[in-house]
Amino acid sequence: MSSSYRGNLAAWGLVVLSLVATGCAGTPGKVLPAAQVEAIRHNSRGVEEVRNGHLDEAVVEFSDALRLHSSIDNAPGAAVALVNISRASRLKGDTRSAREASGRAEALIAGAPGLAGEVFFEQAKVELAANDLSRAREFALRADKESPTAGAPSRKNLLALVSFRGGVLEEARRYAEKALEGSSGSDNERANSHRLLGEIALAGKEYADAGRHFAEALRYDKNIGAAVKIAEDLRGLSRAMEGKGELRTAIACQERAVNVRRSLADAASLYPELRRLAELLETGGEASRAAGIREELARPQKESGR
Amino acid sequence: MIMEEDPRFRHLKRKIAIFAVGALALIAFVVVLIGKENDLFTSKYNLRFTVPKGTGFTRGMPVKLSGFRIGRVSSIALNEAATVNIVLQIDKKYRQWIRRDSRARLLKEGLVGESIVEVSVGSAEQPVLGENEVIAFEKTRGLDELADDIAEKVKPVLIEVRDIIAYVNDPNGDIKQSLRNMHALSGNLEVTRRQADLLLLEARGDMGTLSVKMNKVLDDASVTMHKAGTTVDQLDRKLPALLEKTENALKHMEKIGGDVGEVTGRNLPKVTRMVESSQHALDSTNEVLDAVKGMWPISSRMKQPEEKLLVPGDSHE
Repeated sequence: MSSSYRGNLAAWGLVVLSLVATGCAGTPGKVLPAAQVEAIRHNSRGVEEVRNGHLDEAVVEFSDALRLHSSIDNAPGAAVALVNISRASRLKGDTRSAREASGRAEALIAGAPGLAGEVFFEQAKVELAANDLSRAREFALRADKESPTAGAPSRKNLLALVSFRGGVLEEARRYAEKALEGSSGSDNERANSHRLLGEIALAGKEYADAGRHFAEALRYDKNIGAAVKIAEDLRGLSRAMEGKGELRTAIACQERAVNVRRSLADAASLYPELRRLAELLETGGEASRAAGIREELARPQKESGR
Repeated sequence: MIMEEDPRFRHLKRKIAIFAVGALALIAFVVVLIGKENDLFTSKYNLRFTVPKGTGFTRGMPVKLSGFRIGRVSSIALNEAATVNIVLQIDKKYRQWIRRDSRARLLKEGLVGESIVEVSVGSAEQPVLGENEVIAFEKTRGLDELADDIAEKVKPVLIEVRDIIAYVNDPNGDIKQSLRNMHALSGNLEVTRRQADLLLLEARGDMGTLSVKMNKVLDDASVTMHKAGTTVDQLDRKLPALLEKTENALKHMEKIGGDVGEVTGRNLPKVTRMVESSQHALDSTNEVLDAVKGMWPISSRMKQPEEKLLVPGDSHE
């Protein structure tokens, strides 16, 4: 066998081998309809928009996804789009649209059984935003029943929140502690649990426990970088410290909360923090600093002519 | 003897007798006259009535009918019921006018005259009252009762008058305030009049100045109009040439537009084909990319868009 023949044979062998490998490794996969693929793309873009805080654009993307899924009678896809529309609308403050979308999603549960837990969860959130605690509780229980393991911490936390808003503190505490059990929860939900337990402890004037829980919530929120929740944790910590009589620490925590709110450039959430800081400073005998803050609070109202 | 010798004593008994008879006749005459005057010789009859109180009645009080004296009150007596029985003695010749429906009233003649009992004339169809029959008494109101009545009626009027006067006199009331305001208004009117006078004087002066200025403005306007006329003449001369040039320019533009349209028409199919070819190339590229994405090891690195991608549900937000 000549060397050239062996070289040709090797080359042909490599070609055959690569073709076979490609053929074996290639995954023909499920071929989705073009409309569905497009719908999935819209949905993904919508989720990205929500992550970036562009809620109006997110609703548009989710609506396009819904339209496309509905055009090919894809119930699971449509249900996902409706749940996302509901969430984005609720985050915008449009409770009416959120309720409508989540109601439509509930009608599609039969065709998308795996989404029932999410749909009920979202409906509970919508009713909570609308201050209808009884309906919120009903949907939260249904969500918890639908998915006892997957997403359990968030369901339990939601039940705890509903109970807390309804004034049933012991029940709220039980649910929040249940949410902390096990390791299935995310840092986000762990933080939520601790924050809620902190609020419950504050309501029961258990300031030491409240401080501990808010500190834990703060640790988790810093890990995930949730600025709004960090501000809330700091405010809770400030209240706990004030309850314990540690006024200096309370002022320091409140100042940090104010700084976080300032960085968010959201006047609606900044002013309550400033007001609380002014009150703490007045209690602590720092009247001049408090006056400066009161002036800052009054400035936008004067400028708007109110 | 003196009586026999003095002629004055002659026939003295006769003289005394004559004097006595004459005196007796005179006395009788006077008695008859007085009797006639007091109705002693007229025949009378009695009528009676009863009153609760005898105040105002006196014995001998005249009884009059139609203002004519017809009798007198002959008796005033208290009876067992503690009321007063009055008896009137009336001349019989007046009987025919005093009937059953006649009424007796106690009156005062005039405001301060004497009190009388007046009997009213009765109707002809009623029977005449006989001796000692009862005549009906009609109570009349005395002066004090009248005065009380008038006082009762006048009292509210006086109170109202007093209130009206108080209302008018009230320094904080409407009338006084209105008067004050009118006074102030009249004062202000005077001031206003003086100011109006000043204003008129100023206006007169200003009008003079204004007319001078208006004249100047009109003169300037006249100059401007003259200039405008000159300009219009110039335009009139130059406009036709300008219009002709504009028309030529428009014709050129039309020609250019036609040329562009021709060029576009010739080349558009080529552009369309170019776009179609590009689209086709893009589609082919997408197909190739899709196929490559499905190939190992690339497919294992490619993140497939998840169909059921949800916005994360946060129990807190």
